[in-house]
Amino acid sequence: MSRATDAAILALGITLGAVGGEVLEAKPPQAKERPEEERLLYVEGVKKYVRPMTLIDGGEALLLVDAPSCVRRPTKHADCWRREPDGGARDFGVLNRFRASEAVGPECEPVACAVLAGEDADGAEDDKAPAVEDIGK
Amino acid sequence: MRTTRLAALCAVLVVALVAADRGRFGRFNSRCDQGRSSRGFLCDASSSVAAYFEFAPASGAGMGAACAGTAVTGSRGETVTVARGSAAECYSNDGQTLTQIASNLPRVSSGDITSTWLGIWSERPVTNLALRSRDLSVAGVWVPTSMTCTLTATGMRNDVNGASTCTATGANGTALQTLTVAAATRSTSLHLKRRTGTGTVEVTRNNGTTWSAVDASLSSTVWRRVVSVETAGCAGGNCIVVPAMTASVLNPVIGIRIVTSGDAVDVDFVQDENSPEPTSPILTTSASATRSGDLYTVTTATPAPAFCGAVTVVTGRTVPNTSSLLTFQSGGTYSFSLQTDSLSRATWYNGAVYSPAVSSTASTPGTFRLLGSHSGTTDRACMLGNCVSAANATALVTRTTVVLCGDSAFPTVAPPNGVCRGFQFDSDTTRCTP
Repeated sequence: MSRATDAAILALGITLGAVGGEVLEAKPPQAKERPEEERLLYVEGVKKYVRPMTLIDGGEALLLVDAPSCVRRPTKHADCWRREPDGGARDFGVLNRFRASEAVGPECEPVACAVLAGEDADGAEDDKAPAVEDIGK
Repeated sequence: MRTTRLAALCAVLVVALVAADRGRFGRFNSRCDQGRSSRGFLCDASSSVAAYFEFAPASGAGMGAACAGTAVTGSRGETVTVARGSAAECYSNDGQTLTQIASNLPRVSSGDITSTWLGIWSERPVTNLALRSRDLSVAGVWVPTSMTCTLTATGMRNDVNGASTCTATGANGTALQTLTVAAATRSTSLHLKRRTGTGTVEVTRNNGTTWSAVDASLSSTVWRRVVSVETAGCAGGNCIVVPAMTASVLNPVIGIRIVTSGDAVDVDFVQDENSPEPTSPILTTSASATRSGDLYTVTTATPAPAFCGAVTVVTGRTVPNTSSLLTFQSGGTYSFSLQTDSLSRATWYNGAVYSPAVSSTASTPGTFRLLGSHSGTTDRACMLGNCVSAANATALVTRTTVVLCGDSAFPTVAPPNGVCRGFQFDSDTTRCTP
C-alpha cells in the first residue's frame, strides 16, 4: 500500500470509528464479515468498499472490497425487487437498501449497505463517498 | 496490505489532539471555603475540595447548554478536544427531545431524566440496521398487518409530522421490519407514546415468536423508550425495560403489535444495533447508518508521582462491563486507566495488571462513581464510596494526555455507552471525591 493510500485508510478508520482495526485485502480464516456495516470510499480515486470484520480473537479489521453488498431501486419504475423467504419478490420501495443476494431484476443499483450518521442516504451514491485521499493528506 | 493499530492510533491523535499545554500543579496557591482554590476552581457540591482538573462539574462550568453542540472546557477553561467521525443524537435532560450534533462536536446532557448535571456522552461505534427509523408508513420496509401507520405524529425533534402514528385496524395489528444480518448479540429499542385506547401494546424482535407487553408503562404525554436495560437517555423513569430486546437472532424481525382494534401509539427512532445494550438513537432513512465512537481528550501536566482521578458514569452497561473512564496516556501508551473490569468492578489498569484487583461494589446499569488514586507505592480504587488498596510501585509517565470517558487505544470497546460527569484528577490523592 502506498503512503497516500495508507493515509486514506487511516482517515477512513477515523470516519468509520473503527480505528485500531487493520485494513486487509483478503479475509482472514474464520473472520466474520459484517456487510450490513459496509461503507463506500474512494482510495486514490478508485471506488472501494470497506467491510468490518470480527476476527477469531475478537479483534476488529476492515476488509477492502471492490463490490458492495447491497442494492437499491434507484427510481420508481426500475426493475428491482427484493426476494422474500417464501421465494417471491416484493417491492421494497424506492432507494431503500437491501442485500444484493436478495435482489431480483436487472436494474438494481449497487450501493454500500450503510452510511454515516448524518449523511443523506437518498442522494447519489458517489456524492456521499468520503474523499479519503484528501482527508488523509 | 495492512495498516498497523499503532499507525492508526497515531492518526487519531494527530486529528484529535490540539495541543493545550495548560496548567501546572504549582498554580495552587489558596483555597476558598472547604479548601478550594481561589483561582477558578469551583465549589461543587460534588467535592469537598477542588481538584487540579475538573470537568463536567455539578455547577456546569465549561459545559455550555445541553445539546448545544458547542465546545466544552474544563472548569478553568482547559481545552477539551472532541473527535467523532459522524453526527450523533443528543437527548435533552428530560429525555423528550433529540438534537443531532455534527461530527467532532460534544454531546452534552445529563443522561438521567431526574438530573440536570451535564456530562459528556461517550459511546462505541454502532450501526442501526432498522431502516426508516422514524417513518413506519414506508411500505416495503415496514410491513403492516391490520395496522395503518402514518407520518403524522410530532416527534422527538419537536417536529410536526416527524414521527409515526400506528393505529390497529383490526385485532392484533402489527408493523414489522425484517433485517438481514447474521445471528449475533444485538439490541432493539424504540420510543413509544400512547395516543388512543388502553389496550395491550407489545414489541418483538423475533417475528412474534415472543411478544413482550409494554402498555403498563406507556404514557400518553411523554416518550418512553423500550430498551433491554436501563440506559442513559431514559434512565430515571422513562425506560421500559424488556430484556428480550437484546438477543442473538438470525435475520431478526422487529416491530410492534397493538392488540385492540382502534388503539394507536406514536413511534419514533426505532433502532436495531450491534451492541449488548441500547445506545443513543441513530436516524436512518433508506440505509443503515453508523454512528462513530466518541473520543474526548485533554492535554495537561502529569499529576505524578502521586495522583487521584474520579468520574461518575450513567450507563446501561452490564457484565461484562469493561469500560475505560479516565485514561492517562503518553504517546498512545496508557500508563494508568481507571476502568470497570469484566465483573463491573472499579480498578486501575497500568498496562499489565489490574490493581487493586477488585473494588467492593459491583455496578449494575445505572449511575455510579469511580475513584482511583496512586500514592507512588499503593493503588486505591473505589466504587460508590467503597474502596480497596493494593501495593503498586509503577510510576506514571511524565507527560500525559488524559482521555475522558474512554481510551484512544481502544476506541471501539472502551467508551461506557453512557454519560460521564464529575471528572477530577489531582496530584493530591485526597483531593478527588469518592
